[in-house]
Amino acid sequence: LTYFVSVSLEKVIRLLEMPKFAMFGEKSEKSFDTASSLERDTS
Amino acid sequence: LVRKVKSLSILLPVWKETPANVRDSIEAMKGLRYPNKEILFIFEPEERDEAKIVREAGFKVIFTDGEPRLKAHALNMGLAASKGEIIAIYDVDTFPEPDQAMKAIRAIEEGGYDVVSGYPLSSTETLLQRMRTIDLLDWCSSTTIRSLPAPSGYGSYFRREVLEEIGGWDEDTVTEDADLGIKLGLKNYKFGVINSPVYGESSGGFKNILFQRVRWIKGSFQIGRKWKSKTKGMSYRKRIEFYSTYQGLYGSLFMPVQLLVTLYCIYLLVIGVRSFYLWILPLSLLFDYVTTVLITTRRQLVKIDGLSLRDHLFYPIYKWLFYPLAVWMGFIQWKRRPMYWYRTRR
Repeated sequence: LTYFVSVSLEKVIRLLEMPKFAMFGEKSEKSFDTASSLERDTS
Repeated sequence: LVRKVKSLSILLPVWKETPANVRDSIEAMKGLRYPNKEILFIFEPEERDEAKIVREAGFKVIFTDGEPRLKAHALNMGLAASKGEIIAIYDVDTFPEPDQAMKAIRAIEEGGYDVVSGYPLSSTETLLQRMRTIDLLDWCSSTTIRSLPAPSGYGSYFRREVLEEIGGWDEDTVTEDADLGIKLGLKNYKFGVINSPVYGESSGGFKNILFQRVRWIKGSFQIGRKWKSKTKGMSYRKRIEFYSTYQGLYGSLFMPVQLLVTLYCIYLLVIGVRSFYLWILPLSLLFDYVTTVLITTRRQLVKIDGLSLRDHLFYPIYKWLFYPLAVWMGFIQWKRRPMYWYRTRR
């Protein structure tokens, strides 16, 4: 029973956290895609 | 100017791979763009022929001392032989997009992360492959950040000092990635996922998928036992995740019984039996269905080619049927052959 409660609780927490979650680079796609600027700096 | 860029060492453990697979991995590594990198392929002592292919391609080769024959041991030997300020790990059958190293190191430097991973992709041709793809995405933190991540061979990047401080990978488990996640979690290191895919080739065969999952579950049992008395320093969030994922795994052994009783309750309700208690299990199953679908249909997931909403709606049912089998097999294997490692074929 404790297992099922903790699994359910964990899922609820994950759902509540979802709006805050973003992969790095997801929101600033344009600037992120210029990761190659790092390469330019070194060339 | 090159000195401005952090040096990167990529560790690539190889075990029982075909020459064709090793060549594919060499090509993928050649395509990975980063100006200041070293790539170390780590072989078991007897794998001289495969190592020769790597050497001929101009990459560095090291051999383990052979015991214990575990990925964690190979990674530790690779770490000791490497020089990079950033350490990355890949598997021979995981292929990053060319810009991945750039993106990962930018995330570490600008995002302040200690550890970052790409997100996994695999074939989506058959229903089984699509289910495995959703499963991997869920497991590897791509839907929400797991507070106890499992930085795996699906392209994980670490600050070197972080790995050194936690003593590298422990050599007492078959899921060294999840075990490392606990160590990172205990020290409150910052983990992130970068918006960059890693393609993991898979045969998609049922046996392959099942036995890989069995190993993961066996490792989870090992982790649950190993760390259960050491979670006091963790936040409640991490402890709940630890309990539901690892320590409480014994509960999932009852899943087949739970499913059967739930079906029986639904049957009784359908034929007209009226009791409040009969609703408890069907409603908990419905809760599990809805939350699983909500979690796995995150915005970035549904954009993946080859995955439809129908697949996401079917995924919980796949999980209910597939997991009990894998959990029981993992439990039995943990008792009988705790360090056995099934070699996934592609």
